[in-house]
Amino acid sequence: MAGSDRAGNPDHLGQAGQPDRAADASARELDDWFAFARIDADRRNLPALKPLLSGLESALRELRAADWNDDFRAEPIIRRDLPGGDDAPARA
Amino acid sequence: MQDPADLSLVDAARELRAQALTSVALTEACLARIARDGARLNAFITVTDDLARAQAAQADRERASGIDRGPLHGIPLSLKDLIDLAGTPTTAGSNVRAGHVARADAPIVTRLREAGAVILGKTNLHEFAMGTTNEDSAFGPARHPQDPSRSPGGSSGGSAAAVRMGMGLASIGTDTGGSIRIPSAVCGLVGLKPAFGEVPADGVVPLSRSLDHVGPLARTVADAHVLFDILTGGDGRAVPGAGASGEDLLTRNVHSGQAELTAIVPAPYFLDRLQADVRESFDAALARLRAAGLSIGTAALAHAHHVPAIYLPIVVAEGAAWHARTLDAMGEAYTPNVRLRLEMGRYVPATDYIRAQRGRDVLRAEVDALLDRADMLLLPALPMVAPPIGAATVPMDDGVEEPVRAMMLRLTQAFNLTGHPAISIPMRPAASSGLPCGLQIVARRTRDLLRVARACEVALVGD
Repeated sequence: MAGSDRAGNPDHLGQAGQPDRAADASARELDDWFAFARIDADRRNLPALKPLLSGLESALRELRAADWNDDFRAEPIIRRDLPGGDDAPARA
Repeated sequence: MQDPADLSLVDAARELRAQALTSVALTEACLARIARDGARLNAFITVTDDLARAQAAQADRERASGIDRGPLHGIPLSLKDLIDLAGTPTTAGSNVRAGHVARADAPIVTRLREAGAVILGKTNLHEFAMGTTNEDSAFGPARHPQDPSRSPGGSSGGSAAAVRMGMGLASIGTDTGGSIRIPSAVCGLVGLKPAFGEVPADGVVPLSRSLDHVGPLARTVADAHVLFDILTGGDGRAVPGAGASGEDLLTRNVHSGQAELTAIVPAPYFLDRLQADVRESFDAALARLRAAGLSIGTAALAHAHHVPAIYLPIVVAEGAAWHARTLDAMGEAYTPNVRLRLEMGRYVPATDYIRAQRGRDVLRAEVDALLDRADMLLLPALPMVAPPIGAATVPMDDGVEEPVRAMMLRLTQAFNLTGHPAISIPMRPAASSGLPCGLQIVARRTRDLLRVARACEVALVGD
């Protein structure tokens, strides 16, 4: 039975080499899914849906690559090294 | 003498209470505006003039007999036409709803009636609230009050056109990705998206149940505050400026440049893609706010660039789930664009929907972290002015054309994802076109937001 580490991540993600294979599988899964979706749109006589599916596909690829997928804790990930800097005032 | 249709809600309430104005006269003034401009701007789908006249007469009778229901007593306003009003159609701007008649009032309508509101009618909207321009409506596009060749924004576009032109002193709309703040910003109004869940959405046709918010479009922050108080079960009497309590200390300090408030401008992302007019208005607004005593800095929201990718699968999947049966049974009854956007939602895998919800958690925590350090976030409500009807793209300040829909949602949808309350208040109009621009303010709690927004309003446009 699969367990999880203290951060709540499924423990198989912590094994060397597995994340890359998981990313490849995830990309192939989306390739297959959207190939099916485009065929389905034609089958349902909705060819105009296909450009929208391309936009959705891009969004889902971005979601799957986001860093929170590696750490499912719902805590803020505050970065202070972004362009624009951080000169926010302290609360009065 | 000022036409009563041009009064703010709070000023009209004061006149009514002083018996310098009757609700019947005020309502007739608004109905005259509907007769003059309603069809030209295509603002209303249903005008409930008989109901409005009866409610106005009742309000005057009650006041004459000593009954005072508070600041909304006898005030004419409108409802976006996806809010149930018993005995009238709730079209949601769609032929899919043909023949529908609401059997009961939405709970928020009950609250408005109990507060003595006069209901003028149901306003035009982007079909099922699934869009930002109001172009895709079974009843035709609503039009911008200042330039009818342009969009009034959406999806609550009819509401914004109505309030701007005196066809009611306020309107109740909904906001799933910006649909109150966007039309308010481009029409020069105040638009409030309360915190998620504060205003009940029962009896309101949903778009995306985890993103939908109900709130007011109004002329001033105080007007929006009165309506928020009533929509959340209060009577509006305790709102500063609306009752006996007068202005609060914070607003008075603005006048002397001593408003001890802190604000964060979230950058990058939120300021990356702006039209030149909006950037100029925003910079001028920040200068005025600093002069009023605000301390303003910048800080990053680390995952802001993921906002569109998080928003899209949630809104389309939740929309598709609600519309599944009618998409199958009568797909041709939808406007083509809205049908396709809803159909897109059928292709969101469950695991990606969950990834998007995780992304919301991250964004929410990041906004909370910024608001731990300041009283508010400040950013434009919209990166652009009202677009021409039919435009697919608009030029930004670097000359690059960007898609209208993506740009209109770009600065507002983050706070539907996080659930934080957000408001748009007018900034100085764009220099080249004279078209309105909105300043968006975000805070942790709605009542705090309304207080700091009132202070900002005074700093930007005076009392």
